[in-house]
Amino acid sequence: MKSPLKTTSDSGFSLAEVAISVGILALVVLSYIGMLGTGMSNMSSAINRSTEGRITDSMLREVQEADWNSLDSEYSSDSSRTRYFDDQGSPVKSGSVNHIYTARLYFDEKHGGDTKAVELPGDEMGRVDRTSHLHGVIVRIANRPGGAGEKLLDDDDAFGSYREYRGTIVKLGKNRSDKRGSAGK
Amino acid sequence: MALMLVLAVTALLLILGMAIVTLSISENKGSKIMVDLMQVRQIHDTAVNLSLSQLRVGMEQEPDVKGREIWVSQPGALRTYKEDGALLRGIKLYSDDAMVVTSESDLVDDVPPLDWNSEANEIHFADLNRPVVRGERAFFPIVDPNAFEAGIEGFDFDENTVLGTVKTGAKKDTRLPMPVRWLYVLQDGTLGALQQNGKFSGPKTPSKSNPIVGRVAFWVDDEATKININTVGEPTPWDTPRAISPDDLSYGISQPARNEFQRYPGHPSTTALSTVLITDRDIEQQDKELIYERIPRVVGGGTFGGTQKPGAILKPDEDRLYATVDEFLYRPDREVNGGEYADLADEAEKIRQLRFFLTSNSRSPELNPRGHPKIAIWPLGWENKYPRTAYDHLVGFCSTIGGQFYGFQRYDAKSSVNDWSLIARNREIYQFLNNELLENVPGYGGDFGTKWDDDLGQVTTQIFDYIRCVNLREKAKSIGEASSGRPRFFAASGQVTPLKIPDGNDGTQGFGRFFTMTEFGLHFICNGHGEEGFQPKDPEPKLGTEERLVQVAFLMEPFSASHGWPALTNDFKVRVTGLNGFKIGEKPLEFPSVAEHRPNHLGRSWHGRSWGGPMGIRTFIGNRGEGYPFLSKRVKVRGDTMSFKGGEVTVEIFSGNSTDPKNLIQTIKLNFPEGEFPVPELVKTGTGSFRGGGATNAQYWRHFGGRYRQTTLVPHAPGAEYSDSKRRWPKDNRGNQPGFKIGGVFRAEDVVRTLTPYHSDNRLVAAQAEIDETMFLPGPNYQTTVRLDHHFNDTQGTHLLYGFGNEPGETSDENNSTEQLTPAKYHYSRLPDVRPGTGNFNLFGDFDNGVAQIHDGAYINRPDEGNVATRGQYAYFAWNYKNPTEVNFSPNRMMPSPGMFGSLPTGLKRDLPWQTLLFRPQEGHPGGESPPDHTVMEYFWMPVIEPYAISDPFSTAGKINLNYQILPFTYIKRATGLHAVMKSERPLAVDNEYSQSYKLWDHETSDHPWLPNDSRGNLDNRTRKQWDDLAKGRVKLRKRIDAVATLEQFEARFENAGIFKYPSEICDIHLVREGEKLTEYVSGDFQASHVVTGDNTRERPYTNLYPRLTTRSNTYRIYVWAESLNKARTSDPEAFDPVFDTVSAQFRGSTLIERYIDPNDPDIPDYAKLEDDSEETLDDFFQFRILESSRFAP
Repeated sequence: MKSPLKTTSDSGFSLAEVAISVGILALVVLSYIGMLGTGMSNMSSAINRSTEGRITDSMLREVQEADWNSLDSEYSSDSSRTRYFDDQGSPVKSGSVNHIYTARLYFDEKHGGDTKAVELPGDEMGRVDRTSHLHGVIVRIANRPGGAGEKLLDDDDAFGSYREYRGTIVKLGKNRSDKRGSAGK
Repeated sequence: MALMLVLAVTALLLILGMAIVTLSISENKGSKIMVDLMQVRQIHDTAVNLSLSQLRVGMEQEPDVKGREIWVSQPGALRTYKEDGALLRGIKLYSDDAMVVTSESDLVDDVPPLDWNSEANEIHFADLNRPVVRGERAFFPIVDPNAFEAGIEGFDFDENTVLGTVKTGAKKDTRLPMPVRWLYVLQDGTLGALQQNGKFSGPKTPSKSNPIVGRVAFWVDDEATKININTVGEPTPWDTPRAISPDDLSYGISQPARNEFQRYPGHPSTTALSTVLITDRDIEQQDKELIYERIPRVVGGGTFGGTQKPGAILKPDEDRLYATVDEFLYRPDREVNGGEYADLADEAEKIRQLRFFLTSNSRSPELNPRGHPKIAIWPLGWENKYPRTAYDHLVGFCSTIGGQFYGFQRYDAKSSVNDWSLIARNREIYQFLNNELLENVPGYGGDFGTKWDDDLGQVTTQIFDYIRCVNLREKAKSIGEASSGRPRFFAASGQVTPLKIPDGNDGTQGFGRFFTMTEFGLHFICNGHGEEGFQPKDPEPKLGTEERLVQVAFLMEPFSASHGWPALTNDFKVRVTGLNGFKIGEKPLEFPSVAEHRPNHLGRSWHGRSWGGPMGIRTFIGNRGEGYPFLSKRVKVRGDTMSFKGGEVTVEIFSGNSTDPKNLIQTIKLNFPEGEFPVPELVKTGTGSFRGGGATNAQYWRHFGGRYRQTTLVPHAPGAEYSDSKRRWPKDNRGNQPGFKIGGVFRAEDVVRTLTPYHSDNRLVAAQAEIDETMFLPGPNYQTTVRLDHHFNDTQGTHLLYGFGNEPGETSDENNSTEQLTPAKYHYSRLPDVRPGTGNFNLFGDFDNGVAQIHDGAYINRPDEGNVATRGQYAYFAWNYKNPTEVNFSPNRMMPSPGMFGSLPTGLKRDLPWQTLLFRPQEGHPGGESPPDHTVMEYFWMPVIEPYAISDPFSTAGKINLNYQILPFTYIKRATGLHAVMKSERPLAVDNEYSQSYKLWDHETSDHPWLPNDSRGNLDNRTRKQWDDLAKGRVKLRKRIDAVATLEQFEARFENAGIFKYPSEICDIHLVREGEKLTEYVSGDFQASHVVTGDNTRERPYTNLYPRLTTRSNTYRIYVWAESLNKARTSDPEAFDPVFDTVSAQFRGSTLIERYIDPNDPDIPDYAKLEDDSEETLDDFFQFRILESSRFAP
């Protein structure tokens, strides 16, 4: 009586079969890895973009709501203009293990920055100076955890490694600067 | 087999891989869209920020420019003017390639090009009003052009200015483009417009690394040009009655009930919502009631449109205020607005059409031209020392900022000094006001110190005292009296002692509500004659046959410039010194050297009235007979003439019953010149009875003991002694003849000589502490043989004292139009109390029409506190005055606005009679010289405190901007707000033709206290017919304003690139009435044919319009169209190519912003105490906030 197993053991994969299979598998796995890479990179850039969008929004809102009269003093140093965020765009403290994004505000040339102050067509003719109430603001965001992000932002030559978003803020508070330091928003 | 397995696994892996890739791609796209949306929101926010920046640039002071600038708003622009009136900047509130310009023509000529929608212009212009069409409906983001077909008043647009405009047709096909330029945004935030060649023009050039990433177009509407649904109403006009007309009669009978805000003059609720809501028919009472249902707090009922006497105080409803115009669709009870059968879809469409005309948030600042707080014109009790009512507290709240109150307080109506010396804040505010007026008026240049010279302090004192005398009889329960509930009036008697301010060289004095004396006279009567039978009684000496016994009384006539209601009960004393020098021939008349007199209630007599103005002499004499203190001894005189020797006399007027120097209000010096007078004849006839007046015998008239004994009784009635039969009264119904009666003072046999102010502008006498002898001059017949030379008056008319200036004879010299107050012919019973020739001084019509039937004169337009009369009579006209109760009380009704000051003299110190503050257009009037008088109104305000705090500290809701011109869309006209404002007014003008009948009442018409009937009266047929025509409305004295004709003046101003800098400039605009032509007003023909229309009457419509107008808005709506753009790699980075470049996201919407002030800001200084050179203004404390932001997604 013939054992059915024997029959099976007799008919193993041929070399060619194995070679082709491995070849196909390798090809597919490779292209799969390729796809996975593109997909992941797409994913991550999508996540970055929307997170950075949220960060920009919150940074601009923060500075719009800040006490206008002390903008120059309160946002004078790099550290006072820098905020840290986790992968969801939620603010975290510096040094936090969740710290992923580092964002920093930059004002226009009239306020310590190096970009041009906001001008409207015709300003020159009307001799209008808007710097007392209108700021151009740049939010520069680096997507590197820990101190690396901050270093990147410090490096002007690293443009490309961080992204910039722009907006304006306008003074909503009273014109007169406060004598007693009350909020002048 | 292995292959099969591998293939299966492979397929699975591939599917998984594809899924991941697809997912990531869509995730990526999604995040890109999100970021684009975020970016477009950011661009939108930038547009809002730029608009705010434009507003700030326009509203803030420019440190490098000398003087103070003012700003003026209009839809689409702000204009900033230098102090001298030159334009500093035009600030465009819409996206453009030149957003700041320096000439007005650059602003108004910046209309979009006709072919804005051509292919070439596609990259340049965005139509902010491009609709979204869905089915048969088009939804417009800004203005629905179908509003034109709907007949909304004041709305129109030109079809030919920009292509694509479709005015009429199917609702979904009409179009009204509002194209503005796109501003392009580079990645680094740089802004610029495209040049004609399509290239970006801005501070930077776009590049691959800094590409164009978005564009934005915006336009800012001024919410103050719209009608505010939280303050509007539907008016039924009301005014103090001033002439015979059905309107005026109804104003008397059906006075506004308390809380009937839609009838309070100058109240925002008198602005008409029907202008937009009911456009297809004349509005009726039921329509009004429907409108009141829609409006929060305003209710119907009350006088039911002026047709009934209100029975009770109205109770405002408790509807909450509308937060947005869209809420206007529903009532608070969730029913659809618009009546029982209203269809939701129709109503919704209507509301969409109304969005361009209505607002729920419009506010305007209440700062004076120098950016400081305006002064409230409602007086408050002095802090905690005098009671304040709930109204007072609200006014106080609105006029307090930084803890400081800006207004006047009062404490003591009986003192001329206490309200000045005790109340430090009054002194500060007074000084503040003077300092403000000494500074240039921004936008005009000049100052009032230069213009008025010595009169500046006088005018401000008059204003202060005017405010002090508002609201004399409002019952106030003070803090201490609350439990007892006893009312306390500021001046129950209606008398307020004038305020004296020790300022300037000789101080200034107000009017208070007090009396001065405006005519002084000598009344010579004959006591006896030497003829047989006429010898005087013992113990008088016997007279020779040619001798007469003569006695003289020194008379004076009290006058109060503060004419009107409430009743004025006098409390003063006069002291006369110097009469003892008077002689006839060489015989001393032996008047007392010093004598005092304290008259009883001057209004309490037959025909007496307590309304101020000329009070006559009868009640001044007051039944004293021989006890009258200013009588001479009797002297014998021989012959028909006598040599009178007068001299200097001093008359002092004291407040109250004491002659203590601190009560001295006025000292008047007189000089009676000597003269040859006729000798009085002995009265030889008695008189019969007539209409309640008793008969007299001749003896009654021969001595002051008789004649002055019953002066408060029925006086003389014009009778047979009048030369003109038309002026005689008819017999009474018992056949008795009219004529001299008990109560009369003069007979034809007497001799009367008087002194009066040479110009008859009694206001110039009333508000001066010391009058020298040059003021009062003898009458024209002083030195002639005419016996009676006087114009002593009587409260009820000028015909009741025999011999009045122009009687008997013509009422007015037709050949000499300067004889009377105006060139008009007056009825003999309503002659103004002026000396002949007064017309030479009254060059500008600066006199007041009396209340109701009372003759015209030199009054100060006292705020009317009401008179409700009794027994159903016509209040104000009828004799039976009654104080109004709280059913009729309202602060805003009394004091609509500072326009009330319009009858205060501006030339008192400079001796310029008949010149008052000019709050109306008048060619050649000195008040029109720069700075025009009307800008004085800009330093004051009346907070609107009912039905809720429509005013808050230094801003008021619902004011309409005079500058309705829309930039740059000048082809769209939206004057709707002004149409709505003007609907409340019925300006009164009296044609010269009716100058003899517009004031007639009572005896002259029928003796009937209600209305004239045919049974009595003594009018000639012509006058009777005229009177009938007026009383029954066949001839209209009050007419609606023709808004279209009136606004022609606005259009002309706008076409010349002009604008209204201050709302008071409404006073430069002729209010053309229906059926009349603007040209008549401009040429002056209208005024010349309506000369008896007084200054107060002419200025009243302006007084009521002014508080509802503005030229500066605190609220703006920003319409934005933002797009984020994707530049194609192949297209020119410096341009936007609509073929290759794409729009990646779009956002259309609007944002409502408000400029506001925090009244409790601890940094706000006390502006009344600033250093002279301080440039601090309240403008610096304004903040902005965003009230509402919405996306256009219909």
